[in-house]
Amino acid sequence: MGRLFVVNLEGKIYSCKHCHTHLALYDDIYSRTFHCRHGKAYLFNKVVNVSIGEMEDRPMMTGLHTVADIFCVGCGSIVGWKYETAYEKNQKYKEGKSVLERYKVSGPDGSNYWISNEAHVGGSDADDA
Amino acid sequence: MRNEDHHCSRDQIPTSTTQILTGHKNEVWFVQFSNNGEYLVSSSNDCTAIIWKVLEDGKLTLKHTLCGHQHAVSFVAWSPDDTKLLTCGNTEVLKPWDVETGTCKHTFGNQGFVVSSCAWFPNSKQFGCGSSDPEKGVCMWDCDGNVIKSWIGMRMPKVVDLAVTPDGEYLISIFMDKEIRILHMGTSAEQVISEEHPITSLSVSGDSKFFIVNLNSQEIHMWDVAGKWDKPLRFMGHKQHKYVIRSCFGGLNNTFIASGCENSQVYIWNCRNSRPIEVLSGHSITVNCVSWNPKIPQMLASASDDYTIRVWGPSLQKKEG
Repeated sequence: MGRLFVVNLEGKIYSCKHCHTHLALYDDIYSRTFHCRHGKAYLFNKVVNVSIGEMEDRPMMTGLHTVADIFCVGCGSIVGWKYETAYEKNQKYKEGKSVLERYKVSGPDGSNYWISNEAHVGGSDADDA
Repeated sequence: MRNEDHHCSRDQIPTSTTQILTGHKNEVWFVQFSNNGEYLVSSSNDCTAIIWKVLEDGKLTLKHTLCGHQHAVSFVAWSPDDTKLLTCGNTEVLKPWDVETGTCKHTFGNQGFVVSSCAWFPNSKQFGCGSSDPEKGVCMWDCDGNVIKSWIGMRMPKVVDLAVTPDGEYLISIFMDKEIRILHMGTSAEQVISEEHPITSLSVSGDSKFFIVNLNSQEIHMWDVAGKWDKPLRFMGHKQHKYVIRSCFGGLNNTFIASGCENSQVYIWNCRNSRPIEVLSGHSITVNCVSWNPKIPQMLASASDDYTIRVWGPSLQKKEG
């Protein structure tokens, strides 16, 4: 791969757990109530330094969505997905936003989120920095 | 008459590979001919830069391999008098080299000094460099390492790319927040142009009147240095999304633009048309940078992740026909 054009963020940064490429800002978190197969996930208004995969229709707990997986440009690992289209009116707010799986990213101050039984009960916000 | 002109121009356009240079051991990220057209410099992820000599028959031969960087060499700048080169290590130091001897006397910066690009002033004794560190901003240094002037401040955005117009009148900086700043060196008057997408690279025309920027929205925009245009000329058709891709002016009367591409091809536009007039195939993977020989309008060089540099010239068949 050539010389990546990587955007460097400033502030409270969420970065790739493997290669530390900046992915999103704390200030761009839209919601922290999302879940995925590895536990918690955050919905961001905006993410950077990601490649977008193929779009596909995916049935979710909240209904059918057209989404694309997103990958870290630095190391290629999958870090979440982007909502392209939501088909139910009350889910439309997701369109254009991206989910980062909390397990795949390091949070501000380098904090990490570990899989545990507590996650399924709903972890404490304090743990997430 | 127009058809004849177009046909004549087409015969002068580089469309075929005339030589493949294999001196680098890793991705070649940058390539640029010297102002006098007698040399080509290339730089690579193998942490070296190479100076190639352009021979009278148009072939290139290796003159010097410049070793010393600890990281990929992402950018090189020829001094206007072509006696010196500046090499930028990717998130590393800046090194000036003597072209004739291939030696380096100084190293500017340290491990914490994040240089993104550099540019010489017309006197070939002073240069500016931009940093990705917001506290560093843009500095003007002389060859002995003295800081002559700096534009520093907490509000200074990160510098992505930097150029000085050949006439020395303007310093053009590309900032991370999609801004182009044109600073008049004499009056310190500043103009700001905002783009809608991130800008990955900048190139200025030889007559100091225009510049082009590569955007990761897969467009190249041309603006005038004087800042009178409301909107840019746009060039498209190539592919660019993840990587730093560089383009350049060149060709007959400098009325062409060439660019690298993420799909392994070189794209050439006539400045009057937003769609490419030639698409050159041959590289096997991303073409990071292209450079047009300022003295030989038919000679173009391209740098690729396939570890090679290709030199392009007009198709021989067309010449014979």
